[in-house]
Amino acid sequence: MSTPLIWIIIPLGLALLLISTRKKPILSGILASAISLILAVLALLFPRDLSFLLPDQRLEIASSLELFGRSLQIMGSQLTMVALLYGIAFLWNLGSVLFRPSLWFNVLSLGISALWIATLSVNPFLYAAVLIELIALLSVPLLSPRGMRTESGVLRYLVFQTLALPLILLTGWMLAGIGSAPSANPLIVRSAMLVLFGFALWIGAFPFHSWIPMISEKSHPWALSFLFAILQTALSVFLLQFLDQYAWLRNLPMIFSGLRWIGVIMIAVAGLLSAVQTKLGKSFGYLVLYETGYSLLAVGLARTGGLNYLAMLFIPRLLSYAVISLALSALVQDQSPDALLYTNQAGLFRTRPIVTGGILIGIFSLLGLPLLPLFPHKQMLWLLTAQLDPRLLLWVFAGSLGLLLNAARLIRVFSQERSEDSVFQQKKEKTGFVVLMASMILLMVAFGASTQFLLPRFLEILTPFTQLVPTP
Amino acid sequence: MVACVPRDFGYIVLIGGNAVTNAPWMYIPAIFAIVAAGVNLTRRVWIVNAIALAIQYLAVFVLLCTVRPVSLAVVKLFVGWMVTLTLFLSLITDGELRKASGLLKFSAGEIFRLLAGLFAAFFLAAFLPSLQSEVFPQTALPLLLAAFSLLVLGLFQASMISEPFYVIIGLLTFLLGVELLYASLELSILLEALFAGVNLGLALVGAFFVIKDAELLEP
Repeated sequence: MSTPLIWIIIPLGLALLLISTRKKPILSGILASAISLILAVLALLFPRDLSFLLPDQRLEIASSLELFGRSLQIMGSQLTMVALLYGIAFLWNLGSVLFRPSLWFNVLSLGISALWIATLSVNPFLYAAVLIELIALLSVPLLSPRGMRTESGVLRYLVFQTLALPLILLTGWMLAGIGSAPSANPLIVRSAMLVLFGFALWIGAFPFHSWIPMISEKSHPWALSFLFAILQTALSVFLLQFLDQYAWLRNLPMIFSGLRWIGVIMIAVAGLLSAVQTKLGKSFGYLVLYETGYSLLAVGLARTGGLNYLAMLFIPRLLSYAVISLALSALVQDQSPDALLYTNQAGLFRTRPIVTGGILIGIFSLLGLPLLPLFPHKQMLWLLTAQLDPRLLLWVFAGSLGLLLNAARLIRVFSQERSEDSVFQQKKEKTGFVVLMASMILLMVAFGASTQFLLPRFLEILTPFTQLVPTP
Repeated sequence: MVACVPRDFGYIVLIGGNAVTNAPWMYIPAIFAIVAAGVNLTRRVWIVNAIALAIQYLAVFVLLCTVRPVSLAVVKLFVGWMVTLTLFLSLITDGELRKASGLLKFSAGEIFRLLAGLFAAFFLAAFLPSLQSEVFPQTALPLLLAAFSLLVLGLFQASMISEPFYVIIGLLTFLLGVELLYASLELSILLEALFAGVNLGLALVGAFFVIKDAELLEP
């Protein structure tokens, strides 16, 4: 028995078994949720030294699994991250029982979660590039299911993810020649450029972000938010692996300031562009970009403690995504393809107060408004940014202003009088939807009210990165 | 026996474990691969594209034999032909397989893509010797020419066209270039297996796109 077997191979096998239940959506959703929950809880409770003391012996679980001469390795210190990724799978599979985004959602979401964990645990970890390509391919049926025309956003997503592959692989080959070369070595500069370019393509960093709003405009919000949530979380940690493992990369003079600048530019661009959107789906895409900007900013602030806030941003951010996409899924359910147009949301406050509440709470949370769970961490990031370079704060301010304008526009539209030909009628929400939405909002409030109790547990995500976050 | 690249960065490569010189014959499969990729970039006749893709995999297989044992290189050929067959069968199922008519007629778009492809291939041929000496000294020039040409032509195809079938062929071509280049640098069985998975996955995604778009057109 080994940890990769428990959290990668067995879930992949179970995902294959779930194929047989894909035409029974409720059963499939419940099974996938239960499996994800068990895996997440197991990862949280598993002893960090991977050993159990039995009455007469000590049972040790191996941390690695050999595969074709390479290995998958999940250390005890990585289990919190494993729990987080399966936690995401659990929440989204639970929601899929209400909104069936695709016949394959449960199968693929479980498989994709296992593959992301494989990505973070494969040795040498540059091979993760090929696994990320496989994940992109598995995402296609979720982003562009049958019955929907193949849109250019999905194709662009595939192209960008494929382009990143050789960049990262070639870095792996070049690294063999680097060793302890000085940071001015041209080989190092070349490798760093390849890695960062590849990473920018993966995560959709500015200016390679065009596929994110394109996809989010057309795809089902629930499937889309799952893919973005897990991609953003896993890739943020993957970037930390790069920086932690390669001294030559983290010792490059401009690396952290570069990440900070890319981060704030993304915050500003995404926030300002979200202010002029006319579709809720596309607007959600810009929210994801806005948060990617914050992740990069937090990584850029690693030397001054920014990584702690990166780790604590994960859960509140995921809850915000879930709340917004749950509300958007309720809007697209049984509605016309134009259901997410701003112009069709007039009077939504009166007809669907829970949906509008979910959208606005989610946006306000991502904005970092007080009393909501992202506020303390974003506030600390603003503070660290201002201490390091006050100019950066202007960009953050511009982005936040754009997002605030977007929220103000939505409030105005939601509170308008409903026109005669509005596509929405007074609608009673499903009980399951109300319960899930209420639970998530309550969780957000709980996280907001008790930041210092619940979220620091997730600082354990940073434990494997001993070079970036020196142990006290 | 596992083939490996020479330590002295000279012009000796191994074929099936036996040393051979960096012979001019290696340019023949390289040119075949480039022409096949060029045909895929230029023409919009599905049957021709499927045949060109199959030839492309065959040419790359011959080149791979110079850096890999034949038993390992043949896996790539089989995977490539399976990929081609998957795409071809999806086109047949679709029922819209275009007839190979007007083979000698070129539209303005096709001429543009042909010129772009030719320009890229000539540029690479001129530029690659210096790249080889600086970055890839252990890779034979014909192999490098084929790998980079496939990379660039595949990239052109994936970025110039919005029709899913051709984007997928572009990505397959691009990946084939990556695989060829990487094969000349390092041997990893896990990576070979993952690449095979990615190629088959891309073919399935391509077939999925073709079939689902055809379903929407049905009355």
